Order: sequence, then structure tokens, then C-alpha cells
Amino acid sequence: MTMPGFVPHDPERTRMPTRRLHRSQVLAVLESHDGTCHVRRGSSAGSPASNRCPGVWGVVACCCAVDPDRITIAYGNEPLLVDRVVGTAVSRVRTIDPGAQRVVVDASSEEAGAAIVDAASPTLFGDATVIVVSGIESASDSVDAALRGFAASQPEAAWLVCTHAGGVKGKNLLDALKKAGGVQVDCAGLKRGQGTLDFLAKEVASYKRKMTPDALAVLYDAVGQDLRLLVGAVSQLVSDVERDPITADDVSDYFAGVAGVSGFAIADAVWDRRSADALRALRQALQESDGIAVPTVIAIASGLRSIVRVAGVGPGASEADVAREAGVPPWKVKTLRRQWSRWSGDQRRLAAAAVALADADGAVKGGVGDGASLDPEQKLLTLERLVMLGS
Amino acid sequence: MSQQRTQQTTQPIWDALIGQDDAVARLARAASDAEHLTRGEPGPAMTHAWLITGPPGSGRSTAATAFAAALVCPELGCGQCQACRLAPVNGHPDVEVIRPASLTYGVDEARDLVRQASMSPSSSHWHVVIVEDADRLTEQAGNVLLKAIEEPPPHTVWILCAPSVEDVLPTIRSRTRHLAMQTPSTAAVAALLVDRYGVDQAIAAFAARASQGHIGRARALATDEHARLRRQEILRIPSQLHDIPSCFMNASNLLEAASEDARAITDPLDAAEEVQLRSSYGADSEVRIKGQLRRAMESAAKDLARRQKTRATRVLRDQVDRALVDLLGFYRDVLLVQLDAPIALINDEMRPQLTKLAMAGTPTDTGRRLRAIGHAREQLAANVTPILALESLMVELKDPWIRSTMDISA
Repeated sequence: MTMPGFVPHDPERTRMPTRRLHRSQVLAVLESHDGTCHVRRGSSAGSPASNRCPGVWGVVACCCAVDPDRITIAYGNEPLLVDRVVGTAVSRVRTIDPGAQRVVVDASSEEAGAAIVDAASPTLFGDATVIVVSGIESASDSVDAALRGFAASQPEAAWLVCTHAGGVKGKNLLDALKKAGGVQVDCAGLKRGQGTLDFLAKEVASYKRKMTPDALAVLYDAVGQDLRLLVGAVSQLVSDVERDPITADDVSDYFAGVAGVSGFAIADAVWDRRSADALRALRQALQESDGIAVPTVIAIASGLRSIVRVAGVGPGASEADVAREAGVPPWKVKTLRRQWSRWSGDQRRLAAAAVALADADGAVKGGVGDGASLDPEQKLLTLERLVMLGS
Repeated sequence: MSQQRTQQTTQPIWDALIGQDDAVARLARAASDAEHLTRGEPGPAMTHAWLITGPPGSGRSTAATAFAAALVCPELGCGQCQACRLAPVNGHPDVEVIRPASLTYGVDEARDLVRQASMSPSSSHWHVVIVEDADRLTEQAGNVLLKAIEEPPPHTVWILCAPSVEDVLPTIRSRTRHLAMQTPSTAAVAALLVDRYGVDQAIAAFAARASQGHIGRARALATDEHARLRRQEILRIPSQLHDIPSCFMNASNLLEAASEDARAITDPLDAAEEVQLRSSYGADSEVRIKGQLRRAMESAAKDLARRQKTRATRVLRDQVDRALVDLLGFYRDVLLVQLDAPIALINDEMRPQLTKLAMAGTPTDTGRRLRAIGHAREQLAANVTPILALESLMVELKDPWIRSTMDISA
């Protein structure tokens, strides 16, 4: 094992602190996703001078100046964040000993306890080990005992990374680990909407780039709630788009064909009576996946339901009142009213649309009655007619 | 002796069947011939597989369980002995009542059933297997049963129940003896309500008419205020369809009411099943279980949740369908008023509303509305999202010619 305190870094590019601190000695640690030096990671191909990490800035330290935590607990069930915590912990140990072994065990297994004890005991050559224990909320008795043993003995050459899915289950063990100096990192799933947008903004900032709020919103709409996809999209954007800050146009250019091709985008186009757009969106969506027929029908139908509900409240009411009474989000009221105005002179067609929707739902689910068939051509035709309702 | 028994069509066990004289006569004869068979004498009226069909509520299951009781009772259905009392409640060891709780009855369940059916009777001469709702057998499940139904062990009797012969596989149909139940007459149902449940004459007459021969529904309408109110709400719909928003609102109200009723049925069942599951794994509120047992329980719980979900879908669908049948009866009455036909109205007490709607349209309009209701019922059965089917129906009830404005529908 290499000596603690010796940090194998590239001396040409960074000036490493000669001494490592314990986490408790600083107020905050700047951490990057992959556990490498914050300054280096964020740098593009800029001048080497700007890539010097000072290690400690007063009360704030770069992760490369702080010892890896003996026990880390990723607490929460957002897989991306959990993976990052685990990855960071492993990388930070590897800044001390690049040859550190990673041992992964499942906490619910009865045999895992022995594996943990084994991995935590010193080896002949003092090799470092990172033990990753997943799902300690349902730890088996043997794992529970092994983890408590680790917490008590704090072995020199082993580091422990646990994941806990969140909740109160297994709280006793969690508390014991924290008491023994375990650092708990919050990995709870992000709230939809603003919570996720804030996370994205930070993600962009970690590349030392900026994105306009519009651009973030477009990206979020296009990709959806899946954090991995979002993070992947951000990393693509920052590496491919040169303009800074990245604008909404850049995002929609980049994601043309993906951005907005959800059932709801098709529905919006249908009820805005933009038939050509609706048809194009449908074709695009079909090209990406052929399992979209049923959700598309449902999305178009729920669009119609919202329009009709808003129409039922009457034109005089304020947007907030309409939203409450019709049970639609306030920010959609304006759109829904616009859509209703495009149909109000043509109500019979709108009523016929309700009939067509139920028929289409039956058709895409394999047909109704004796004429039931699963002919894909027929399905396609039904969908195409459906999105052309407004023409 | 045997001659005398054959004529005894009024063994007490058959009293449960209302207005089914033909069916009762045939089943009683079969039961007595069954007894001959056990003594090695010929018994042509008895066979080993039966298919009982009849409209919902006509008493298919009642007929099946009464027949089963008559077979396992030493007195051919005295109605008094333990066998007669246990058989109808699925408590008799030689009578098995299979009631598919979910949407379909699958191949795995059918295989279990075949295995059980081959067991010998324990306390009587016959082992009776009753499959209620045989129309819910999937095609594979039906095929699994085929062989067992065609050549069961000598002491096994199969009784399948279904709404009509078209609802079961032709191959099953041809291996069974068919017995059709009739829709009981309004008078018979009303008399039953008065006799057995002590219902007031007028309410009994209303319930018998409104239920159109569905005995269980008639009982609910006669004894449950809530059921009567729900029915009134549903029959008010036709006069509330003014524009598109009101159509959509009525559709969502109807669905909401139906899901409320469905939840009232399924929630207690779900809760009881969950308690039972936990206690069968020894995990009552006090005891916590761990490890393998816990995983086994969790997987059983997942399985239970899946079955409960399909049952919920089925119950909801049944509730919506019942509402649609009420609407169907309402528009039938409208048509009768329009045609001035001398046929009794189902909703006689709503004559003013019926007349008003009758004046507002032509018989052709009403016919199209009736067809729209039938179409919506078919859509529900074909797994169309209920709210879509209902919205479409309401729009079509408001304007029965709406389809002519679209080039889109088939």
C-alpha cells in the first residue's frame, strides 16, 4: 500500500497539496462526479496555468486534498446519483492507491457477510480494497454483523461504500455506520420540474458551461424525467455545441426528431389543428418505436377532455378558476382556450372526434367485436386518420 | 320407488330456482337417474358433463349448486341435511365451485382443476366440479379441460356455466349436455322478493321490472336504497346531454360512480386477502419475518396484487356494463313509447321523461342510440379504455347521427 498522504498526481498539470486533510477539517469539499480533482475535471483544453488546483481555498477544499472517507453511504434510490457516489468513492481511494480492488456484494445475501470480513482484513502486501455493499436496508444478519465489525475496527487499507434505498428500514445499522464516521450522501430521486431543472443547471455548470433556462426547459421536455438520459444529453451538448451559453435553438436543433415527439406533442398539434405537424410527429414517433399507438390515442383523448372541460367552465372565469374547476394545470389554460376557439365553430366535428377516439382505441388494441384484427396496416391507417381530425 | 322419485320435482333443494320449471324437471330427473347409475341400473337422464346457460342473474350458478347438492344428498336434495346445506356454499368435500375472480381463467388454473377433478368422492357417490363463468376460460384453458370433460373418472361430474353456448369453445360444447335457463318472468321475480325478503309489493314489482329478470340485481334494487339511487342517476343521463361538455361530464360521472361501487366490492376483499396472506406466512402485526420466508411472502404478495388488479378491472367493467344495461332498457322504453307498442315498459314510473324523449326524436334515432349502447358494451369487452368508450357513447346518445359526419369511423 502506498503511504497515506502521498498522492500520485501529474505534477506538470496540477500542484497537489502536500498534505491531505480529513473531511472534518474543512467546511466544504468540492467534489466532482468521478472523484478526480474538481479543477482538472472541469477544464477544457485551456491553458495549463488555469488547471492548477490549489487544493485548499480557506475553508473549502478540493476533493483531491481530502482523504477518502472510510465509510460512505449513498442514501436514496436515484440510480444515477447512487452510481456517482459509489464511483466517486472508488476513484478517490484510487488516487491513493491506483491498484485498489473493488469488491461488490449484495447486502441481502447471507454469504456476503463473510465476503465483507474477508475483503476488510489486511492482505499480505497491504493492497487497498473498496467494499461496495448494495442495499443495506435489507441487510442479512451476517452482513449486518460484518458492517458493524468494520465500523468498530476501521481497518487501515479498506474503504466501505454502502447503498441504502432510503426510508426507515435498516435505520439502526445506518445510524451505527454514521456514528462510526460514515458520510451519508443524499441520492433521493429529484422532484419533477424545478428540482430536476436545478440539477441540470448544476450539471452544466460542472462542465464550466452555461445553458439558458429556456434551453434547459426544452431539453427537459424532450428527454423526460430519466436522469441518466438527461445527464447523457448534457454531456453531448456541452461537447458538441460551441456557443456559450447554450440556447434553446441549439437544443432543439440537436434533438430535432426527439424533442417533442411524445404522444402529448402529437395531441397538441391535433387540437391546434396543425394536421401536417401532427402527421409528421406521428410518423417520427412511429419510426422510433412501434409501441406508441395506444399511448398516442390516450394522449389525444386526454387533450380533447381537457379542452372540453375548459370549454365547460365558460369564457368569463379567470385562468386560475378555470384551472381549478376543470382540473387542468394553470399554465395550460391559455393553450386549451386557444384550442377550443379553433373548434368552437365546428362542434359537431369535435363531438365526432370523441367517437373516433374510442373506435381508434379499440382498433389499436386489436379491434372490437367480430371484425377484430391485428392488421398493423389497419392500425397505422386508424392512427393517421385520427391525427388528421383537425384538417 | 324410483318412479315415484322421478315425479318428485319439488324436492326442497330446487326451491331456490325461480321460474325454471323445465330446467328443474330435467335436473331432478338427472339426479334420480344418477342414483340409478350408482346402483348399476340404467340412468339415461344423467351424464357426466353439463353446460348450463342462461342470461346473467337467471340462476345458472344456483341451478348448478342445487344440482350438485341433489347429487351428493342421500335424499336427492332434501334441503335439510348437511350435504344440502354445505354444497351451495362450497363447503362440501365432494363439490368444488370454481369462480374465476379475474378477467380470464388461465391454463395453469385449469391444470390444477383437472388434477383435483380426478379425485374420488369422499362422502357421497359423486365428485362434482362446477365452473362458474366458463366463458372466462381462455382458449388454452378450455383445451386443457377438454380431455377431462370428455372422459372423466366414473364418479366425476362437470357442470359448466356460461351466458350462452356461443361463449364456450365448440369442442367443449359438443362434449357436454346443454341445459338452458330461461329469463324468469317479472311476476315470478316479484313473488320471490316478497316471499323470501319480505319486500313491499310495489317495490318488488319495480325491482322485478327494472332488473329485467336478473334475480341478484332485483334483490339489490329491492333491498338497497343506494342501488336504487344509482339507477336513478344513470337514467337521468339521457335528459342531461345538452352539449359536448355535458356529455363528457356525464361520462366521467358515470365512470366515477361505477368505480366507487366497484371499490366498495373489491376493497374489503383485497384487505381480507392481504391479512390472510400475511397470517399464512406467520407475519402478523406483532411478528416480523426475515430472509427467505420474507422474500417468499413478498413474491406471493406481488402475485396477489396482480390478481387483485385484474379482478378490479373486471368488477369495474361489470359495474359500467350494468349501468349501460339500465340505459339500454331506458331507450328500449323510449322506442316502445314511440311505436306505441302494447308491451310493458321496464321503467313505467318514468313515463313522463320517456314520453318527452320519445317526442323529441324518431324511432330511427332511438334505434341508433340503442345500437350505440351495444357498441359501447362491445368496446368495453374488447378492453377499450372505459372513459373513451363512455365519452363516445354520450356524444352518440346526444346526436345519434354523429357518425354520418365522419369519414373516419368504420
